[in-house]
Amino acid sequence: MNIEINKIRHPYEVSEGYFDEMEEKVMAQVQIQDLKNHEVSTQYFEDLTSNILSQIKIETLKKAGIPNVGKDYFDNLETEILAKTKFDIFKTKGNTPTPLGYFDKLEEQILAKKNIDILKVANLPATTKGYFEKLEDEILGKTLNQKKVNFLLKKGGLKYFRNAAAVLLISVISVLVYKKTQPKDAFSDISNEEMIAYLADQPLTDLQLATVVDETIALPVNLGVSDLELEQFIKENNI
Amino acid sequence: MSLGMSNRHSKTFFINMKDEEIIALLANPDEQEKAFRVILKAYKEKLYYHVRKIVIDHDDADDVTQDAFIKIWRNLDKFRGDAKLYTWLYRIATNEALTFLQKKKKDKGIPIDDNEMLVATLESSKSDTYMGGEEIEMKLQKALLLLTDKQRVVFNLKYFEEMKYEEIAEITETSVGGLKATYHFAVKKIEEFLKKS
Repeated sequence: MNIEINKIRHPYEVSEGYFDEMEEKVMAQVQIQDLKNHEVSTQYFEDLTSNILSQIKIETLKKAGIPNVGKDYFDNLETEILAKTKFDIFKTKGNTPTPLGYFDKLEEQILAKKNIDILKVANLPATTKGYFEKLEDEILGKTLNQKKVNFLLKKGGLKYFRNAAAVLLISVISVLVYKKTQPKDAFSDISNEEMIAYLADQPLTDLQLATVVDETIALPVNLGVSDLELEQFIKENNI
Repeated sequence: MSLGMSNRHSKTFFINMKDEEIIALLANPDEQEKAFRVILKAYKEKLYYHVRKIVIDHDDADDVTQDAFIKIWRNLDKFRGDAKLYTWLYRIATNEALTFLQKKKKDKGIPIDDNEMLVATLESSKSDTYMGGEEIEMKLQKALLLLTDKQRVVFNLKYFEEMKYEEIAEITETSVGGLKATYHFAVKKIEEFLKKS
């Protein structure tokens, strides 16, 4: 048999549409290969990792829903935020609104306070040089350096205290008894003015009046004048 | 490089392009995708059957053909216009098929010139959808498996593809004289086998 003259075909067959499918497969493979061959920077993968992790976190939060918070959390949150905001404004800008004329008064207050401080410093009494060193020595001399007095309680000393107490008690009782036995001054409650007014109405001689008012003048016990001389004196003076 | 062109559009636009026109497309890097699509459409069947005659099994032929086209795509910018396009394509497909067979035989511990494994594959695929034809066609394939893999390649390219020795020489990278001797020896061996069977 001459196979070159009597041509024989090959027996291999494929299913219908196979080559179209193969073409698609090859193109898909080529696209994958094409992507594989594209070089990317190292930064790309770092960014990609970061992006994927961010997406995962977002998705996780979405799945978890709104997280539970404590009661009044948002009320407190508002207060905290406002407080922090005010504090920040004060720190950064320092232009917190103030009442009208606040800074004028503030200036006066600061100046007044400053003057007080200056006076405090300026009005310190001047002292001589070395005064405080001497003062210290003097104080120490009068206190710590003073010879200490030692009180010693001797045995049997209780007897002396007992005697002293007895004497003291007797003295006090004696004084009280003495005062009680003394006649009460009837004129002690009358003032000098009342006494003068009373005496002025009484028929007293000058001498009597002076004796009563001025206690320093002693009344004459024996004048050395006879009755005759006294009558003669009264007549001559038309008394 | 965009690969977004639809099959229908590319089929109607590139189906009748000659190798010279495809080579002109390849010269422009921006047109390489179009060129590859033309090559794939024009040569997918030819290369598949060429590979199938070497590896026998359809699934193996499917894998090897796809790998061959991917290799063509990767090396498209290395194609030099001094060679014929189809001989370059056949060379890639042939090398891919022969390499696959060598690896398969090596993995199974079979000698490189022993085709008993391929005969068994051919026998087992008689009843499946990927095998048809007359009995003589099957006998011819069995006779071909008496040859070495490289002898089969030369016979297939000359007998079925009706290529010139010069073209086969480009594909197999051997001399024309050696190819003539190989082909002559292969024909005689096959005819003897057919006479006996």
